[in-house]
Amino acid sequence: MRLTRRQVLMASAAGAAFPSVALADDKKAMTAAALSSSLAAVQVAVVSYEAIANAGILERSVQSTFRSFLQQENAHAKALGDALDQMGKSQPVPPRRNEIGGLDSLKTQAQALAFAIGFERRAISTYYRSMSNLKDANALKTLASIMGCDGQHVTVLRQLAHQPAVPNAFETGAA
Amino acid sequence: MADPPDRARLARSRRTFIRLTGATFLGGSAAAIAACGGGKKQDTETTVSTTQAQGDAAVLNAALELEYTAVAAYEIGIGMLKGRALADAREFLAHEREHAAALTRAVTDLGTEPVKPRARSAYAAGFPRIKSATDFLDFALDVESTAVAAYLDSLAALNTDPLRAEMASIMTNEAEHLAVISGLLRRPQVPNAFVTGESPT
Repeated sequence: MRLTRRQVLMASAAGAAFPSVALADDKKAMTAAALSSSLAAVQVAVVSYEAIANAGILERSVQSTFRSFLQQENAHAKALGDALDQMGKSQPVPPRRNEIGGLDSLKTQAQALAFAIGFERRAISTYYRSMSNLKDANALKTLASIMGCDGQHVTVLRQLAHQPAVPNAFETGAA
Repeated sequence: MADPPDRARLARSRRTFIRLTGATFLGGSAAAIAACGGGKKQDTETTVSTTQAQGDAAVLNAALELEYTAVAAYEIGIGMLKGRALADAREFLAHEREHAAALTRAVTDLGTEPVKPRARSAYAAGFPRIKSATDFLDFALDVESTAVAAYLDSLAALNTDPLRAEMASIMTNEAEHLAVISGLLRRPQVPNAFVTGESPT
């Protein structure tokens, strides 16, 4: 069977268009995955800050710091959730308190600070790893500005825990 | 300390100078190297064109010039500090030098000549008059804040995937410096949920 000139042209156009469609889908999927894993990390922070702030184990000034960080984590969750909504992607389900290992067993302020440093660092590590895969300019900027804020959280928490405030020149969330 | 109108004027002139220094920050984009510095080596390597590599090198070179500015600022201001502030500034100076070294390596890996630091006096000539520890800490806030804004703006311009992660790790480190310096100045250490590098002064 001989193809008409129009069929040849259409086949050629489809072939040319397909890679860019695939690339666009790929980019969207990677953006959604990065936003989703970042939101999951933020949700852990939200639940943890709220639980610790209400646990009655913090000095008043430290409790105030935790509440302030909780508000900021809520703002991060909203921004990431809105971004996923706009992409038509579903948000991860926030964890319950008892699903976050170690949260319910915190008894002292020192333990709470160490715990908070841990989940903030894990969140930073998640953002850091996402950066290589993200190509969407808005998502990059949102995630980086959240990463910067969480870097500031962990800095203040380290100071409260009497640890070196900024121990490394490159903040990757690694120990 | 200067009264509020003077402080506002000083802050404006500081920001103008730093922005001029980093004016070429957003030159273009990317390349094909593993990483520029602190983080772990990435598994995936991207292939980018020569033009993209040159673009990335331009972005990194502008970042490098900002790091040289920060190094000069800390070297000049450190003599005014004592105690905790001095210890922190020494540490941050070391960090800025590490950033500069990492960026130099990255630009070289992209096949481009890294910019060289100018004489310290050349940077100092553009700095505002710093007469006290508070003046210097205010200036350091502007230097760090400008760097954060520049790194944030550069991320989307980079084509080399691992470079974005490394630039974000430097940007976050500068944001951490901001938190410490703000604390030394008895200002809110984490004033915003989204760090954008907008100057708090």
